[in-house]
Amino acid sequence: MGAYILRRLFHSVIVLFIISIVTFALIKAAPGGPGLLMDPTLTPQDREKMAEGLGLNDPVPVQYIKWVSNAVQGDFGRSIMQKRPVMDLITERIPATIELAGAGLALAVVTGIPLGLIAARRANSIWDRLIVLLGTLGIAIPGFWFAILLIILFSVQLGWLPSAGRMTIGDGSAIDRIQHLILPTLVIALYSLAQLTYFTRSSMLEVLRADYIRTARTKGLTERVILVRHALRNGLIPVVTMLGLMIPRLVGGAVITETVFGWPGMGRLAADAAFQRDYPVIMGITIVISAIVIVSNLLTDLAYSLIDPRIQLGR
Amino acid sequence: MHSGLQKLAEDFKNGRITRRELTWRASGFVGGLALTSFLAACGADDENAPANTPTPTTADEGDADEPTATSETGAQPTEEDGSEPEEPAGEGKPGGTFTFPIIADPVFNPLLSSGVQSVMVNKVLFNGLVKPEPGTLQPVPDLAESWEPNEDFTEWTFQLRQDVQWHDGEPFTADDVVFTYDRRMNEEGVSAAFKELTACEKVDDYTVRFTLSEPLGHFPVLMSYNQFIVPKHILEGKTMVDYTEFSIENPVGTGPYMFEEFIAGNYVSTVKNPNFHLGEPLIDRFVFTVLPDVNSQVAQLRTGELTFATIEPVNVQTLEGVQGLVIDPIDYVNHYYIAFQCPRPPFDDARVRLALALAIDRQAIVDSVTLGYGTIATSTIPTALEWAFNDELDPMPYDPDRALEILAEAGWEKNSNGILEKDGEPLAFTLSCDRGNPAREQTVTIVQQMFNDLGCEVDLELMDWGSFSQQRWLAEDYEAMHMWWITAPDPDQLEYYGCDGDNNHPNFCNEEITEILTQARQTADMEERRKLYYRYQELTMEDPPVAVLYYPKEIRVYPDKLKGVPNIGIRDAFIYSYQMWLDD
Repeated sequence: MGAYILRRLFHSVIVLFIISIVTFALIKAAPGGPGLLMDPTLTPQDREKMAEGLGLNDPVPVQYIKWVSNAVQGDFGRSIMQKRPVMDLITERIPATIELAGAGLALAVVTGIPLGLIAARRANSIWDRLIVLLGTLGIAIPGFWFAILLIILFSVQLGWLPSAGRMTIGDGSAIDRIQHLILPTLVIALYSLAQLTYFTRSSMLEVLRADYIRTARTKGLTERVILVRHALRNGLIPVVTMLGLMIPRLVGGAVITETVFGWPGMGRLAADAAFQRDYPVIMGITIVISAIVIVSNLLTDLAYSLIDPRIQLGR
Repeated sequence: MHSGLQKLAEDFKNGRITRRELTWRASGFVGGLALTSFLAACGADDENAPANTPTPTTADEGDADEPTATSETGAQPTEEDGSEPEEPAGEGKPGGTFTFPIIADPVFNPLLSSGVQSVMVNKVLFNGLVKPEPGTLQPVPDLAESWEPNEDFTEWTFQLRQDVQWHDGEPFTADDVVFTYDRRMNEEGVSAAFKELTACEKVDDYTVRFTLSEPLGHFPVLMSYNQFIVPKHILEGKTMVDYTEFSIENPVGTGPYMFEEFIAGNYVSTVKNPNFHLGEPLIDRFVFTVLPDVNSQVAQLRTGELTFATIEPVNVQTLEGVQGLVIDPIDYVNHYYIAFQCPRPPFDDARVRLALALAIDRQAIVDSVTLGYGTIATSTIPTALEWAFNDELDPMPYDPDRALEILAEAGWEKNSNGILEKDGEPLAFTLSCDRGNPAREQTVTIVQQMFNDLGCEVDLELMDWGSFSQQRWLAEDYEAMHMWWITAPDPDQLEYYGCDGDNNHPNFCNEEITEILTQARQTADMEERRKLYYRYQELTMEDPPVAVLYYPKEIRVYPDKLKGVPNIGIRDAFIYSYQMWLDD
């Protein structure tokens, strides 16, 4: 197992390198340059001086070498827009992102899996149909629209919850932070929740039809024991995979939610950086999120092997 | 789907496939599945990314991001030139917190270009030597008490106030001014000073002299536009770009509000400066909260979490009729236009440009795009510059017949398909615009239709701001494009429309116009300048540098308990933050 993990980590480093090269090439190939240079008060000479200072006149491979030789030492350079070290910007934003992604994941798991189980148990009943309908809605509803709807309902009309931000200025207590977390979590969890419901349901349905389950029933075991001791572990394997793959989406893809709710996470930082062609920030965030994805994939595979003893990793 | 996975697991158990095959194929299955749902998720999430398109401004440190609007039907403006009479500092109740939205984290060092959000915050933290007066937009004293030029306007001497302190208690002197401009002229990465500035010298502790390479009669006006002074005693010996202790953590200025706290991504809070040289401000705290989405801003205006914001015309309907909110449209120095790249055929013929300008129905655009929150443009000088705006002129009429006449004189006739043609070539071109702002996208669609009705063949090209600004605007590589200019509060537009202007991206060149614009900036005599600018506006009727469309109104929204709001655009309004107060 240890050797397996080491090998995976080694592969991960290679993957990160490849990702960095491809990303670098792509963003340099994209038209447009850093937003800073688009200032109309700059004379052409000033613009040249700035471009030179930012290293933009070197050939692209040279620029990459410069970047990567700093990056392996942990220095992702400075944001063009904000003049601050990229690592500072990212580490500032990570807690907010983890908070939102974690809460979203927790909500999705705690709600989605049980709903899926219920639907599978009572297949084709009214409950099942209802749950499937809700699942479909959850996948179909655009996050942006849902977010605005929640804000109008709970903030503007009812005044129960704050409409944006991570905390109230001057406050910052746990209650205040939780209040601010509720609406964005609902929005970001919606799609994942629906997916998990669907997935758990189908997976469990398959498992419940298998031979060994029928055997267990004829042996006289109660439905509940069958479900928990036999069906669940098998049915959850694909669900675990699904969870592992949800993490990158939650961590890096919450741009809309973060924008609408003014949530200071990495998604918005990434979007702003992309619009402004802030190359160092784009590269830094890509590497960080890729690293998170790789690690979560590794953990998923390890979880796999824990759940299903038939699956052995390595080789 | 996972029946496949189950099958795999069974096959493996039965020895039909090896462990390696199992994991390989299972990953493939799940990967494919995840990819499709990932793509679906990305699709669902990314579609309505509210695009924040930057605003090009001059001397406005870098690219500015403005909120965009969603589409709704229109409403009539509630007031004409919404203005509240300026109330002197000291009148009104002290206390309260003023909350304003910004769309990204600011950088506090005003010498580092960084977008409109930084400018807004810097307006309460720092001062310039002079500031623009609400309504007249003329320069009035701020850190300087008085100023005078030499005979030919190549030297300007400013007398500074002697009672100003930095937020840390140190006295403000001429050294700070000299230091600021020295860095701006000489240091890399810092926003450059005026190109005509050759020297800034200390005459004595409270007197500074600026030397210019050419006469500038309106130099004080330029000094009132985003010219902040920074403290020498803190920044001397530091590299501005690296010194984040000042630019991110703890800025020190002379302004009405002092830095208190900055939580990245969340908000910046500032407290009133009791030693402010124009009197202690009334409102206790100015808070800038980071809210990039215009819908969130509108929502927070309704809940009262925001004290002030500017909105797009389409948002008005949501907010009017809300109890206690004032909708206050004012004029500001901005003009929207269609530019033609003059050296390129067919636009190298001035008659073609004039004809196209006549073929635009500006009233229709103002009605449907600005929903009444805009004024038809006469020339490139907006109505906000009251003293120089030529109200004797009528805007260019919508006259397609006259346009066709002029084109005929230039050799353009309609062919059998109704398309204008000359020497076998059709009058075809591309109209470019930046993507993401509904008002501009609407405008170019309407203009395209009008040109096509005339007999042209116009294609639309929408690009994201980054690409548009680099490949079309700055590269001057376009045929026609739609843009705007927010400028200093002065009609001097030599840099935009003079033959050698740095910002003259259409490469328009009319000798007479250039001569008039040059003369008008070399005198300080207001009456003489006014006459020259009147003549400039007349000339643009015959040879328009660009086809101006409209002057947008800035729509401010705030609760009616907020008093003392100056009649000046948002970028300058906060200079007067010390006299605003909350009546509750």
